[in-house]
Amino acid sequence: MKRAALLLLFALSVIAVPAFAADVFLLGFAGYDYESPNPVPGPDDNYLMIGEGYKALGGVTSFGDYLAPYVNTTVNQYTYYYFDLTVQSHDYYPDFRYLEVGFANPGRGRFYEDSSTPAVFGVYPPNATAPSTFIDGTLILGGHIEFLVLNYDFEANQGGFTGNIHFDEGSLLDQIPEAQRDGWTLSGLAGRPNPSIPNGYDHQISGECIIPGPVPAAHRTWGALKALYR
Amino acid sequence: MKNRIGLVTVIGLLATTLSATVAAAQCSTPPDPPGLMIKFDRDAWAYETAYTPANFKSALGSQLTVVGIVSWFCNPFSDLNPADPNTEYTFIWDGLVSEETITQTIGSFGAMKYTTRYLGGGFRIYAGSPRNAPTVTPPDLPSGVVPDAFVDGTMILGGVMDTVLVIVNRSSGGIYTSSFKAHYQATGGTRYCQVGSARTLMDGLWCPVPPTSPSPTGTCPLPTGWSAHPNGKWDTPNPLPPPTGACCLRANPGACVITTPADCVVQDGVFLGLCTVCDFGICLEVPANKTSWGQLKTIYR
Repeated sequence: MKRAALLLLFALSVIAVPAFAADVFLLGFAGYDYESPNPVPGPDDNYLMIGEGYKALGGVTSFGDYLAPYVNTTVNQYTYYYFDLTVQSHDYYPDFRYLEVGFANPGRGRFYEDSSTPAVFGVYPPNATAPSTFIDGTLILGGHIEFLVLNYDFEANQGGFTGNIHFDEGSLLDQIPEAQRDGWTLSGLAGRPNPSIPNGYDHQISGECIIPGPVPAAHRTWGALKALYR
Repeated sequence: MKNRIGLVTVIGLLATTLSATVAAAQCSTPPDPPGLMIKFDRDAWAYETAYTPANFKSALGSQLTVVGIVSWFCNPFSDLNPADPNTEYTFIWDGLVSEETITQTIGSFGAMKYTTRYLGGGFRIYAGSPRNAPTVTPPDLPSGVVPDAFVDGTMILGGVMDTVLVIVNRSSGGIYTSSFKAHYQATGGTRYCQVGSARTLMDGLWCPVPPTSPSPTGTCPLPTGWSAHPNGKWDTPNPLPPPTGACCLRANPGACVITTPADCVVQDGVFLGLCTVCDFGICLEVPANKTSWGQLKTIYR
């Protein structure tokens, strides 16, 4: 009996859940962003003032395992449009030429599939082709964006945004497990100067949508575990 | 024979044009200016020789390496298919030496900025077969497949990078927004002639491993030894150099010039393919003598 108990204890001491769980990648994207409406145009401390709008659009560059079996990037164009993002907080630190912007909840992000009309950015959006050629076709996935934060370092001309997106619409919504439709992280880079940026757009952006993996756990012995509570 | 070479060339160019038309659907469409040239998304990871995740600190002299798999090609590489089941397009950045991370507190609400410059690096992009690089989750480091599985095959493009600037921002609300930026100049590779040596932007998202558990939003947990997950791109040089290759001139047997496919036709030449070079004798025909089967057989008796 004592031996069995010792064996059980030994077995339990080496049991551990995987020490690492990867984030799940949904898709990657690249495109441009712009302010709309933008009643106070101008650089640095006038960028994204309270009440101004932020929009981003472009192409989806890759799909993760959830959606890859249901898309055909050879014949279709996949585009995205992030909108309804209104600046709620604006903190500019002139000593660092550093800006931190928070957006009101919720914004919205949508992804489209289109086999006919090429998406064209044009200049000074909104224009005749943007966002219209980015939001035609089939809505494959959409969701509301929350807690979006954008930081921009005007010294380095480099910044980024991060927020959450919760999926609730689209023809491919069913391909995402119901329990995993909330809590995706939407993040990207926004940078300049860049000769590829069409006039009227602010930054070229590049990013991805991922959902954090399960909470990681580490290997521990019972002794180490008990020591935490002594 | 020359006619066959010409036919093959025409078919090759046609195939290139057709595949470019299809693949370009996801790329910038004229009249838009050219944007991204090469994109990497899920499968890219960074590691360093002296990095501390708890404070995003890269020590002075730490060497940064980034490995990954290409997820998208645009002009001038629209003919390449990153999802080709038989060919894997991988890359490495190496030789990047840290100048040490500078940490700054922004304001009084907990915002932080961690800035690191890495100098002296280069990049190489490979086409390799079979697909053997790890995907989704990289292995713990050190690993027998890192970086080897990312540097096998033929180098299609390589070059130098100026300062790689990595900025990790922590907002006052504890959310991380991080990025990298550099400029590259191509210097070699089988597709170098399509890119040229113009200094061009490469940048993207930089998702550092979390300093704490549970992971704050905007950080990426990775297996042992990795420091960050980048997601970014090489932009297309603007303007691109004209696509050129070796052209054998019919009027001057043996003569070879580097020119565009269209100009080669104008010169009544045979175009040998994009980025081919005028190696010695490439345009010389192998000499042949008329003979009979009987005479041929006697050579081997």
